[in-house]
Order: sequence, then structure tokens, then C-alpha cells
Amino acid sequence: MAGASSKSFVVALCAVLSCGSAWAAPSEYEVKAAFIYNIAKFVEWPAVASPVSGRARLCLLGDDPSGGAFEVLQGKPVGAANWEVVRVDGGGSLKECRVLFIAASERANLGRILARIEGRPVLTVGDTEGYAGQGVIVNFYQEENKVRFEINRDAAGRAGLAISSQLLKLARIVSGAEK
Amino acid sequence: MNLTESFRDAPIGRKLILIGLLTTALALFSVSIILVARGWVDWRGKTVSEMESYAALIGANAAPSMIFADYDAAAEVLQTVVGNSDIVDAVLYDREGKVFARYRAPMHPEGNMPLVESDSYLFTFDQLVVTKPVMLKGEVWGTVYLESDLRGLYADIRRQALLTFITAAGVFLVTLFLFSRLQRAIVEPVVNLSGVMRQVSSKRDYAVRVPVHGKDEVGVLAGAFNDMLAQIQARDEALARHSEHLEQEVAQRTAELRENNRLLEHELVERKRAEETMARLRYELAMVLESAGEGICTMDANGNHVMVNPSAARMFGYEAEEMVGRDSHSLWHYAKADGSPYPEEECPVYATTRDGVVRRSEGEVFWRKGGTSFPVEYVCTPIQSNGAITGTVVIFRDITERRRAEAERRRLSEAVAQSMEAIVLTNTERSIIYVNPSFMRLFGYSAQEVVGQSIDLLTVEDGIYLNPHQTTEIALAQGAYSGETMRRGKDGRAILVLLNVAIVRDEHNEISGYVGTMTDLTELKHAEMEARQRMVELTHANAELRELNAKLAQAQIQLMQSEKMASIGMLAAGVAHEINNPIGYIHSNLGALGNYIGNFIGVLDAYEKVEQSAPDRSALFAGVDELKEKVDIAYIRQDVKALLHESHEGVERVTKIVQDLKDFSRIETEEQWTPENVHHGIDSTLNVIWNELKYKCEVIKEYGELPDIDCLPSQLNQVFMNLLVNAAQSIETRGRITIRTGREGERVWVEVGDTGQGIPPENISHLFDPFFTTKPVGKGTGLGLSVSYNIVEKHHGKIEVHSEIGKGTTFRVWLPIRQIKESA
Repeated sequence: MAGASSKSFVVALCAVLSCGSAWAAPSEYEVKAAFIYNIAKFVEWPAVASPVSGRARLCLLGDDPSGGAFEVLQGKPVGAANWEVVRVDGGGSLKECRVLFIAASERANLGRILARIEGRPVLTVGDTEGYAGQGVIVNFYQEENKVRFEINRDAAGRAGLAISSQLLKLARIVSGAEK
Repeated sequence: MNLTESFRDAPIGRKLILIGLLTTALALFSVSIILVARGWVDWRGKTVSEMESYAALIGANAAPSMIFADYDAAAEVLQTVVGNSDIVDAVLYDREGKVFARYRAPMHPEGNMPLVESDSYLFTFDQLVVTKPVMLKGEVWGTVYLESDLRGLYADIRRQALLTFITAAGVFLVTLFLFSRLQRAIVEPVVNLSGVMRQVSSKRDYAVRVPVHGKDEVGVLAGAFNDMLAQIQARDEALARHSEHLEQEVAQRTAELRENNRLLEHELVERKRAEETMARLRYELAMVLESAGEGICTMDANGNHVMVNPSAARMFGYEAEEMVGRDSHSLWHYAKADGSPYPEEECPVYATTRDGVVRRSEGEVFWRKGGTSFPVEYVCTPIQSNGAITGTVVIFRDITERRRAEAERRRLSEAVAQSMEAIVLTNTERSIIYVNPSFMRLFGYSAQEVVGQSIDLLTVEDGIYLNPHQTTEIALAQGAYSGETMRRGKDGRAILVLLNVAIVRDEHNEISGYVGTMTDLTELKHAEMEARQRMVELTHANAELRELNAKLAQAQIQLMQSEKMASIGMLAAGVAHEINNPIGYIHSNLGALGNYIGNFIGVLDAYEKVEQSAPDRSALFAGVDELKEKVDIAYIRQDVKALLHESHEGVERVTKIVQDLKDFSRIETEEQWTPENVHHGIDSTLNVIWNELKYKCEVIKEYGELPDIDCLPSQLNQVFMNLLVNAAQSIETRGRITIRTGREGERVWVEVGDTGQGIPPENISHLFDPFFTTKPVGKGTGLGLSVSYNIVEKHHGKIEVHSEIGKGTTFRVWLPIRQIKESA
């Protein structure tokens, strides 16, 4: 019953995002893309982080494990702006991101990456065991074959992002971080 | 029905109790129902809003878990919110309508969740179902479904209703008790009153009285009843006293009546005597009215007939009975003589009724039954009684006869006055007493100048005609005179008149004078002469008309002829046109043939030269010579040229004939005046008829110098043809036709003379008549010269004829050179 329900949920989401393979079983990353899209609704960015001309960047860093699933978000609305999905390397452009997805391949570099955006209102997202403990704000994990997420409240606070209590209620809260 | 009756007969006390109880029961029942219904509606509303707030709470809390598909979180929200309430089933549906999470009360069965419309509520028998959308950030994520068990609620309501009804029943019982006690205060005095009444009516005892308590309506009623009893008692006593006196009074009244009776009888005798006198008077009056020739009517003050005598009735055409009682004005005085309505205000009869003044009138009309009228002369006199006007008498006479006589007299005198004849009246002394206007016109006297004068005034002393004295003597002797005579006018002029004198007699057949009527004969004579003149003119006109008629007939015949000619012309033109073509190539071929033959002869000459220079010709040319001999080549050589020449001439001639034929029969759709050479026309015509001429005569032309003249060429050609053909036909065996032309001033002439047999003088005058011919039947129509004559006339020319029997005839046609332009 839970599986069927999960599937239908993603189908509903795909109706919003118009995914390519809506009626096939949604892939793990399609679910994660949908989660990012929805999580963003519960996060408040400070005014300074307003992107240039209505563009909100969703940056993908590292080897993309999604197989392009995140592209589905391209142009979808986020508040008054629209998502712009971009691939980034480790350059200065990271500061321009509103959401930064850090792939598992960057595990070794994670400390450096986070230092680069220290203090910037960037919602860091990952799906690698232990990321949250190291200072990534939202980290996906699997439980009973379902996608769940953990939130590092301290990291969010440092980045100047306010996360809705309704979202926090659903997440596993991780405290502690570097420094 | 039965129930109503038993209620009506029931005692008042019971009625009061019944009414009071019914009213109270109705009031209590209504209040209880309202209270219970009100409580039911309140509870319902409250329960729904409570459920809705639960649903809203669940929606707010479960939305994020639905977004992130966290079933456990959602189930926890349901458990937390619904845990300790009446809600037995709570479900969260996702957007697809699938169950996302569910909470059930321990005893509640699984399944059986009616899916109702989102954001609504539904009451079933023992359940309330409420649905609400799950909203977050303006988006719908699913639906909350809540189901509440209403059994507890219903039990509460039942308890409440029961309590209400028990209370109402208690109140009702108290009311019943109070009513049965209180009604006695009203009912008891009424019962007392009715008891006394029963006693009075059964025993006729008017001395009893009803005890009176208080001053309410029943107290007042009892008092009034007591008063009534007292009055009845008093009247009974007075009645007894009165009957004792009655007998005495009756005796006295009888004596009085007897005295009255006696007086009445005396009066009756007196009246009978008076009536007899009255009857006699009335009879006499009736006789007078009956025999009177005048119409007499009496009217009452309103103008209605009271009496109408037989003369009046006869004149009006009614029966007297019909008129009595009817209004006089509207019956016979409603319109004036000219038919316009006669208003009552102007009516003299009515006026007399109003003011009592006697009025006379003449010249008005009264109207008969049936709408005819007659002129009358009438008097209306008021009828007065005790100084008041009670009516009117109208006495009238039909004056139709008088009017007629007057009118007749007027007509006669008018006839005399208007007569065209002069009329004079004299007395026996022959003094003039009247002259009519015609007399005054004829003799120039005015009436004043001659009236009183002797008729001898008119005498003309010439000794020929009879004078007035003589004529009156003759009239006196013979009864009348009639004859022509002369009379003198005022200016001394003698006037010839036809005079009639007659004797005039008066009503006693005595001679009272003479009447003379005179008709002016001078004008009559004039008129006669004029009529004669007119007659002559008419005869002339008639002759002219006859002539014109004949001309018209002639014109018609000519029209026919000229149409015939036109169609022949058309035919000729068509033939000429058809011949023209073959003639054309024959002509040119002949030319070529001439050249070829010339060439042949040249070649032949060359050969002969060679032949002559040959040394031994006989041996060589023996065959040739023989052939030459045989065909007579020398002759051919000469003759071929002659033949060609002749053929050429022949063709030329045919060409010319054809051309002439075309010229001659030139078809003019509308006659066109054109300047034309007359000689040319004559030549063309000659050519056309050459066949008829050539065997009988030689034609000699002696043409003068002529200018072109305005003419209708084809018509003129027709004239020439007719003249030439006639000339040819007049020649029996062989003769000569001479054509001459010449000019004389503004005219030219063409003369065709023949040496034929000539025309007899008696035929000369018919020469140009249509259908006059001397030729055998079938040879001539008799129209040729007639048509020619008309054509020449149309050209404003003329034709002259000279003929001598046995020597020949010459026609000369004169034509003007220029035609005067006519508007036609």
C-alpha cells in the first residue's frame, strides 16, 4: 500500500513538473528532484540572495548520478523566479547558486566546497551518508525503500536560511558540524 | 355536524372550559415543537462547525507530510487530532483520490467510506461526514474526510424533547383546574336569569324579579329584564280600565255618521243636475267643433293635445284619438317650410302658452302624418283658468289652394313679362294699361311713357298697313286679328311686325279690353336669308367633300400601284445584280480572246511567208493547201475579227442595259429629292423598254440643253416609261416616236410624240382617270397615266396632251428645275 501510494504521489508531482517518463515507475532521482522542488517551498532565502532577473540557480556539482533527472526542474517556478539547472565545477560560480547539489563523487572535496560558500545563502543538498553531519543542509537517505531526508539546522542557520517548522517536523534533525 | 350541534346545545360552563383548554393545548404544543426544532437545528450547526475545524486542523498539519509522502507523519497527525472526539473515522486522500492515511476508532468497521464532494458535509441516518481540501501555499494536496457518530447526539436531543413535552403537560393540567374553578363566576348569574325567565313564561306571573349581582353585562341584562316585567304589569292594568269606556263611544260615533249620510245624498242630486247641463254644453261644443271648417286643437300647458276636431285630424292625416295626449310641436310643428328643424323656443304656440298673448301666423307649414307639409294660417289663443294659463287653442286653415292660385297668377304674369313677343294690354277705350319688357325693347318706350296713352301712338300713316284702330275693330268684329303690319317706334322708325289682337274678357264675360302681341319680322327676315345662305354653303361643302373622297380612293389605288412598281423594281434590281457578274468575265474574256486570235493570225502569217519562200512548195504543202481550201481560211481570217467585234459590242450593250435597269429601278427606301439629269433618265428608260419599241418604231431624240433638276429619279423614269410605252402601243404597224426636251425659264419640258392612231376627243378628259383604258383586257391596267399624272403633280409640274385622230399624240411634261423646300 505504501509503495503504490508513493508511486501515485510521484505521478502527481510529475503532473506538475511534466516528467518525461511519468507513468513508468519513477526513478529514485525523479523523486529526489521532486523533493528538492518541494523543499524549496519551505525554505526562505534572505532578500540579498535574489538572483539576477528572476533566475534561481540549481547547481549540480560533481558526477551527476541522476542521469539528467534534475533537468525536469528547468524553468519551473520557485516563488517569483524560475529554476535554472546548471552544472558547475568548483569555481567561484558556486556563490551564485540558490540550491547546490553536491554529488557523492565530491565527498573528498566536501570540506573545501562548503568553505567556498561559507556564509552565503546557498541551500546545499546531498544524498551521501554522512554529508549532513559534515555541514550539508539537506541530505537524502533511504529508509524502508523510501526516500527520506535529514536536515542540519545549524548549517541552515549559518547560511542564513529559515526552514519551516513543518518541514523540520518531517526530517531527521542532525546537529553538529565542522567548526 | 353532530359534533357542532352537541357543542351548540352544551351548557355555557362546559363551552368555556372546552374553548380555554383547546386554546392552551394548541399554544403549548406549538411552543414545544418550536423549542425542539430549534434545539435540533442548533445542535446540527454546532456539530458541523466543530467537525470543520477538526478537518482544517488536520489539513494544516498533514500537508507537509503529504508533500513529502511521509505516511507515518500523516497517520500521527490524524491520531493526535481525532483521538479523543466523537469522530470514528478520519481519512486523508491524496490528489488522486487514493487513501493516503487513515485513523479509525476501535469499534468502527473498516471500509465503507462514502466519498463525498470535497469541502462539504452530509448527514446520514446516524453519521455526519465532513470533507475539506488540504491546502498549502495556495495548492491543494488532497482531501480530509471525517466521519462522526451521531448516536450520542440524537440521544441528547430525545431527552430534551421528552422534558419539554412533560413540562407542557403539567402546565395544561394546571390550566384545566383553574378554568373549572373560575367559570362559575360568569355562568351562575346567567343560570339564575334563565330560571326566572322560564318561571315567567310558564306561569304568566309578572310580579317576580331577578336578583341583580354587580354591574357587568349579565347584571345589566337582569336589570333590563326586571324593568320590562314592570312595564308589562302596568299595561295589563290600563287595558282593563279602557275596555269599560268603549261601548259608550261607539253609540256616539254612529249618530254622527247618519247625519253625514243625509248631507251626502243632497249633494248627489245637485251634482246630477249640474252634470246634465254640462253634457248639453259639451254636445253643443262638439257640434261646433265637428262642423267647423277650420282645424281646431287645444293643448295643455305642456303642449300636449287635449282635443282635436275632425277638420284638424283630417288635415293632419291622423285619427283624433291618435293625437290626443301627444306633444303638438313634435307631431306637426317640428320643422320649418324649408325642412330645417323648428326649435321649440321659437314656436308661437308655445310662446302663447308661456305668456298668454294671442298670436297670428301666416306662411308657416304644419306637417302631416307621413312627412308631407301644408301651408297654414293660424291663430293661437291662451286658455286661462283662474288667472293661470292652462293651455292653448290653435285654430288654423290650410292655405295650399290660396297659395296655388297666387303662384299661378304670378307664373302667368311672369310668362307675359318674359315673352319674346311684345305684348300690350289696353282697356276698351284702347288706352294702354300694360306693356311687357319686349314691347319696351321693340318700340323704345318705357312703361311710364306709354301707360295711359292711346294705342294710336304706334300708328304709321302710310295708308298701306292697318292702323291700331282698324285692327281692334276687326278683333272686336271677328274675335281676333292676325297679320303683318307696320308700327312706329319712339324714334320714329317703322317696324314691320306680325300682330295678333285678341279681346280680353272679365269674370262676367264682359269685354274689358284688348291684348296685342307683336313679333318683330325684320329680324326674322334676316334669319331666313341667312339660313338660305348657309344652305348654299353646305351644298358646296358637300360637293367638296365628295370630291375629296374620290381623291382619297384614287390615292389609295395609286399607292397600291406604286407598291407593285416598287416590288417589280426590286426584282429587276436583283436580276441586274445577278447578271452583272457573268457579264463582267465574258467582257474581259472577250478582250483576251481578241488578243489571242491576233497572235494566232500573226503566227499564221509568219508560216505563210516561210511557205512562200520554200523551193518546192506543192510537194510539201499539198495537204496543208487542201485543208486551207476546205476551211476557207481567208474568210475565217476576216470574219473572226468581225465576230469578236460584234460580241464585244453585244456585251457592252448588255452591260449598259443592266446598268440602266439598275438605274431605272433604283430602290429608294425613302423618296429622296436629288438633282438628276433628265436625259440620262430618259436614256435609261429607253434601254429598259427597247425590246418593246425596236420592232415598231424608230426613236428620234431631239434633246435641248437641260440643267439637272430636283426630282425623284425612279418615279420620273416611270413617267417616261409610261409615256413611251403608250406611244409605242398607239402605233399599229410601224411609226416614229420623237422625244424632245427643252428649257423655258425655271422649268424644263419633255415631249413624247408618236405617229399613232390618236385619242378621240371624248376620251381626252378621262385620260388621267384611274382604270381608264382603251386597250384590250389584260393589256393595260388603266393606271399608267394616272400614276404618271400624280408623279408629275408631286413634282409640281403638269402634263399637256395634244392629239389628232389618225395623226398621233404628243404628251408634254413640264417640270420645275428647283423644288420649293417643303417642311414635309
